[in-house]
Amino acid sequence: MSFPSRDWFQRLAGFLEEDEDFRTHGRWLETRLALRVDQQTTVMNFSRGLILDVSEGLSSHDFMISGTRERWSVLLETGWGLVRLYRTGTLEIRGDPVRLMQNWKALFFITEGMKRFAAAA
Amino acid sequence: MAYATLDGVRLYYEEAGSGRPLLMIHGASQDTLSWHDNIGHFAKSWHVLAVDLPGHGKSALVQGRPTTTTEEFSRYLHLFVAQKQLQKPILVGHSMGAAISIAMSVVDPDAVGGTVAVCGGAAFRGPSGVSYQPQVLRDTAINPTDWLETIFHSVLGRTTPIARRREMAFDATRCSPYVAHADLITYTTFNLNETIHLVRKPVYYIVGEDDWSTTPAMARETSARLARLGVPTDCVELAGIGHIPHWEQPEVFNEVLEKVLGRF
Repeated sequence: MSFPSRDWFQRLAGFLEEDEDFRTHGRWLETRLALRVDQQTTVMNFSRGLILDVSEGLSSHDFMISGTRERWSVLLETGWGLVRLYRTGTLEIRGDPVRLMQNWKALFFITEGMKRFAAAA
Repeated sequence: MAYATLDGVRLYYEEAGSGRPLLMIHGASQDTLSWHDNIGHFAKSWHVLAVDLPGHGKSALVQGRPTTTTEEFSRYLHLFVAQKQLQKPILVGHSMGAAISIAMSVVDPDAVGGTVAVCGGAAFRGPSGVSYQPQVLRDTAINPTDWLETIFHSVLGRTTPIARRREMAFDATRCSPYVAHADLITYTTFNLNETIHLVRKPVYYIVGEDDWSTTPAMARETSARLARLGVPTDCVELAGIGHIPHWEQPEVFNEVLEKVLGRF
């Protein structure tokens, strides 16, 4: 199991559903989030505190967070938060800006969970 | 608990101790609460005052709308110093408050003794100078409260305890969203490059090693420029601490600030 394999994201989904911060801030999140690493995309389908499915490939989505493997490592290994990664343009986030900012805190804590999951894996 | 009325605007402030005046000015989305572990410490030997800037904490807005410039904030700070008849106070400003403090010392150098700029008041050019992509800054207007809360989770130092991080992030959400976004505009549009040649009074920087917003490098570079202009200045770096050192780790900060104040 290594990032960014489907297995990694599948296990991340289980981790997030048990994560206190995600359970608090992601409980009302209804979105399909694409995470693109180099040319590889995984879409996670979030619904009210649950991750209904994790699929490989570029399917329909509301937001996409994308960057090279090297740039994702700044989140997962260096430990920058999504705020800094987005503010500096290190990771790109695409999607409707209004919906993005409305869901900002949930997305932030999903990536905080990714950091913790990567550290524990 | 006290209020001053300055040009029709209600300003809340806290006051303790006696001696030479030390005036604390908070940063974006904060208020006097951010100094709660510092005021009592310095009140043992200073006349400490801390203000809620207009629109923050218990202070009123100016003309019913949030302030978006360091100049307007510094005007009210100046009025406060005059009304309280403070004799050359040392201004301790944090982040946006550091910029406001320097702006006031430029406008009326005779009114202040000098500035301690905590993680702020450095010279940079526009939003990108503090790592803001322009569209990101624009979009923060949609939901400034959540944006600022996650900023607080992100800009603190690696040695700051998790319980304190959560407390600080929660306290930041008490700021009005309109004011929070206006603060981001104020913070990112401060332009010391245009006025640095007018600085006359000492400026001492205290900056957290882990502060990636107003970085140690930015503070050191600005301090070096001030030194070349003949302004008394220095830059002290706090290991493992981030953008809000006085609140993150007050014991460490108080000890360092005491030493810095000894230089005025």
